[in-house]
Formats: sequence, C-alpha cells, structure tokens
Amino acid sequence: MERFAVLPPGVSAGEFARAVAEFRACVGAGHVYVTPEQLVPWTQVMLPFEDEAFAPAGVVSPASVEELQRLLAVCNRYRVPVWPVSTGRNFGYGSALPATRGQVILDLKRLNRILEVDPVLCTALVEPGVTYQQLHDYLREHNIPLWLDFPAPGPLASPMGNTLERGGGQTPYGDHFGNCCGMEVLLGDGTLLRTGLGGIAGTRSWQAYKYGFGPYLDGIFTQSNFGIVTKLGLWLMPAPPAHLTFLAMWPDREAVARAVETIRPLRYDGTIGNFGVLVNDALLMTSFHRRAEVYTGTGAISDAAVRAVAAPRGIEPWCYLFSLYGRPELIELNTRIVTTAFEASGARLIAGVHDPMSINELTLQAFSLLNWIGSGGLAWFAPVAPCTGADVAKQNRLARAIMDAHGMDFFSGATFNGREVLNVMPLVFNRDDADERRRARACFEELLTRFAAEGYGFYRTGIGFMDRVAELHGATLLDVNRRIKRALDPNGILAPGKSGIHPLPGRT
Amino acid sequence: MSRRWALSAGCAAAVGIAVLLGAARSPAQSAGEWRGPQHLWDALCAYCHGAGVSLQLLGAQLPAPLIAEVTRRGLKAMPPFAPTQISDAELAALAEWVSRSEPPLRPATGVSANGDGR
Repeated sequence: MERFAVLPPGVSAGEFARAVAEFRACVGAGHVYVTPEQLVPWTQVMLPFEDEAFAPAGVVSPASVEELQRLLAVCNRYRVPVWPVSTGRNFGYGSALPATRGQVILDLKRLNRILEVDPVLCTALVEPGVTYQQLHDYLREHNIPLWLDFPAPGPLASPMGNTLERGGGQTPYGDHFGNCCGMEVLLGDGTLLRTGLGGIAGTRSWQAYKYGFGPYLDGIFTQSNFGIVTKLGLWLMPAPPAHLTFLAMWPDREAVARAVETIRPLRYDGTIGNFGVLVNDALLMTSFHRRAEVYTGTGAISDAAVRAVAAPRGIEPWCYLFSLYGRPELIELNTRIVTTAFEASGARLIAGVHDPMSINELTLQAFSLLNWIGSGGLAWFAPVAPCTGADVAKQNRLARAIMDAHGMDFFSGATFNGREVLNVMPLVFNRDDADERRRARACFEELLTRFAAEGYGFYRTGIGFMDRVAELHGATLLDVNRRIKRALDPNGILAPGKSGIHPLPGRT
Repeated sequence: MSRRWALSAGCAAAVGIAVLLGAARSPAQSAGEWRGPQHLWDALCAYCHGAGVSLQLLGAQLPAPLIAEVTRRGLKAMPPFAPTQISDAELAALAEWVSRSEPPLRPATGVSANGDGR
C-alpha cells in the first residue's frame, strides 16, 4: 500500500489511499502529488513557525469546475479537508500552506482562463489561476487601455486570490474587494452558486452590478472557508489621461500624526487618487541595504543607524508616496493643492517619482524587503486604525515599544483607503535561527494581544495566528461564522481553520 | 509648475463598440502553456533576477541542474515554483537557457521587466 508522510486528521492510511486513488481518477495521476519530495514546492513557510506545523497531506490540481466538483464529492465521502489556493503567493501570510496540518492543497493554477474582458464596461471575468501578469499581457496584446491594480507580489499572484484575501494596491482601484463584481462559488456540498445577478440566464449585468437582489453575499466568501470561488468578476480602471506620483517627506520622527491629518482630507475629497503609503525611513532603506551593512549591534536597529544611511540619500524619517490621476489640467490644479497642504505640515514634496505599482507596471521591488536579512522570514502584522493622526501615532508607539522589547526592527507602511488606515508592519526575521523565530512569534502574539486591548482590530493575518485573531474579534462573530460554515459545508471539508473558523468538534 | 505629469500610453486608443473578448487568444501561463524559456524568464524570473531585487542570473553560468532545483524547491527568500506552474520539461529548458545565457547588455535598472509605462 502507498505510504503517506502526513494523513488528514481522523482519516486512516487505507481511507486516504482510496481517496487518493479517486483523486487520480478525477484529474489524472499526473496532477496528484503525495510524496514528501513532490510536496516541497508548496511547503515554504515564511512565518515564524516550524515547517511541520502546516504540512499538507497532498496536492491535487483540477483543470475544470467539473473536475473540482468530482474532487469535492470524494473529499466529502472520505472527510478529507482541502485548502484551495489560486496561485499560492500569499507571501508572509502563509503562501500556499493550510492553516492546519494534514489538509490536501487544492492547487487551482490550471483553472486559468480569462473568460471575458469588456472594454466598454471595463470589466473582466477570470478563473482562480489567472495571474496579474497573464491579465496584463492579455490587455496589452489586445490593445485594451485598461489598468490593473497589483498587490506587492503582482506578477506572480492572482486577482482572484488577492481579492478574496481583501488585498490592496496603489492605483485608484486599490481596494480589490471593493472592485470585484460577481462570483461563481462552489460550496462544500457541491452547490454551484452565482452571486449578484449571475443567476439570471443570459444576463449581461453580472459584472456590472454587485449587489443583486436580497442579501449581498460576496463578502462571506472572502477571508473565508465557506466555498471555493471559481469565477470572479473584476472592475478595471480606464487608463487615466495623465498621472503624477509624489513623495512627501517629513524631517522629524514625531511627524506621523501631522502626516495623517494632512493626508485624510486630501483622500476624502478625492484630490489624492490612490491609497498612497506612509512609510518610515527604515522600511525604505530595505530597498538599498542589507541589515548587516547598516547595523551590527544587538536588538532592534537604532534610529541613529537608520539615519546614518537614510540621510545621505535625502530620505527623511517619514515619507508618503501618493499619486494624482486624471486630465492634465486637473493634475496641475491638484499639484498646487497638495503642495500647499503638505508644505504647511512641514513636509518637503518631490514630484515625478517613479512608482511602478501606482501606474500599472508590474514589479516585485517591494520584496527587496526580504534582502534585509535574507533568510525569507516574513510575517505581516496588519492592524487597522481609524484614520486619525492620534490613532496611527499611538499604534506606532505601541508597536515600536513591543518590537524593541523583542529585538525586532520596526517597519511601518500605512495605507489610506476609506475611514481607516491599514497600518501594515512587516516583521522581518532570520528564519534560520530558532531563537529569532521564537522571538518573532512571541513579538507577533504580544502585538496582537496589546493592540486588541487598545480596541484595535486586524485587516488580515497569516496561518498560525488565525485562531488567536478570530478570538480577539469576539466570540459571537466566530460563533455565527461557524454556524454559516456548518450550513454551507456540513462535512467541514473546506479549509478548516481559515480565519479561525473550524467546522467540526475535534477538528481544531 | 512645468508639465511634469506623465501621459498614460494607450489612453487615447479608441474603443468604439463593446467587444467581448474570449479566451481563445489568451496566452495562458500555467505548466505546459509557456511559449518558451524567454517567456518564462520575462514573466517570472526577471522581476527579481533582472531588476536588482536578487542576483542577476543571466551570464552567471550557473549549472542548469542547480537552477532547476532551486526554482522547484525555493531557497530562503526565493519562492518555489510548483509543477502546476512550470512543467518538468519547461523547467529543464528554462534552466538550460539561463545557464547558457549571455550577460545582459544593460545592467538592471530596477524597472519592471515589461514596463512600458502603461
């Protein structure tokens, strides 16, 4: 009998062998992976946990919704849990790995059709395995003047995966969930649902109107394990007539509150066209230096060490990167408005900065961050602040104190969407060093606890931290999520543990 | 202020009537669908290895088996690339192509590999 290194919880080797045989019958033997050597490409852990914590039992890769339906029938029969990934590029949040050990990764990369692009309505309909690169190339090859909005792992990641994680980018369409429209979802019991207007035969409005009739369901399929989204509608941005990117820089480390108070009205009234990102000098320095070149002391890097390399480059302690979009005359007017506002707050403004993500140019430059230490250790701490200077400054002081205590460098990259600031703080650590891994994990856990104690919630989190984050958002919310889970996926086979939602007693 | 804003390339292209474009001509980018090593290099590798994020591999004359193994398994900050994304045959051809490549004519600029401003 075939031997397996890891088994799904509660499933015997014999049962799993039979399930695997049926998987092979569904998708072909070449698309089922079960040996430890075969599974290596799906098992990179960037987070501060041991590799074994999330070890999958296998990987299966269907090429159609029909194959996927047959696979789910097998999973229901044998109670084999599956963890769907579009392209598995959720770097720093878990990449392709499941939240719990022993799940079968459902790799949807082969479901990769761009089903429709409508250049008049500026919409698209895509499958999970379509990458931003693929859609970008498609638009170029067809000379369609629409822009995409990429997350940091842009070329490698998928619009589906990032939208379902409620990721963001740096154009005016940076709220990815806010710019999706219509889903096809396969539920755990095999039901194939189209949300919004997708249930109306022959409709041409599925990608035009989000809300449909009755309850608006799309949100429950994001950061969730209630179904597998197999098609996703997107709104794409018409290429603007012109654009201009700026860097505003404040010369003092206490400028954060002033910066936020300056940015908020310019975002609310639409002058600034994208989220922009407010970063500290340390984060910017990761693009130019490795940590060992800058700091050899113990503990977290000092401000003085950062200033020693940032100042010669003309980089100030706080920098806000943002863009204006629109007709040239509007950009000229808005340039005067933002110049007046930022200069009044004590900032220096540089116009004409090149930021690829803000202007539909694919890039992976953001991952220069990983060169800082070089071992691939990364965990995004992602608290939400109300969009006030006092809150963002308070969060930064708190995070800095906690990170200092654990010897972790403080990086901050805050983005401005609606009434909130997503105050994202990457923990970059030496994953090869067991002690540093433990410190990073302890740091992250203390950050979660103390931020929640101050009333702050979290935009997103990685596997390994999901149970704790769900707990911090309240028992009633988690209970309601579990009741929805039970109704839509009665056998609890879809992604147990995603966002802390465990379906069945004993499966936690 | 002088005219420092950038005009978006392609914004003036006229799109008159609704044309729903199907998948028939779409260049899919999963295992078995790549046009060749150059296509793979441009779409997956060059963003780091030709853009200053990681080591320039073109002209480095690394052994092809090493390139293939690191691509498949990942290494520290480099993510692994699964056989659902690049087939074994495509990976072998890519590794051979990179191993035998000439150094680039221009050094990496830090600009995305296919960026034309759109």
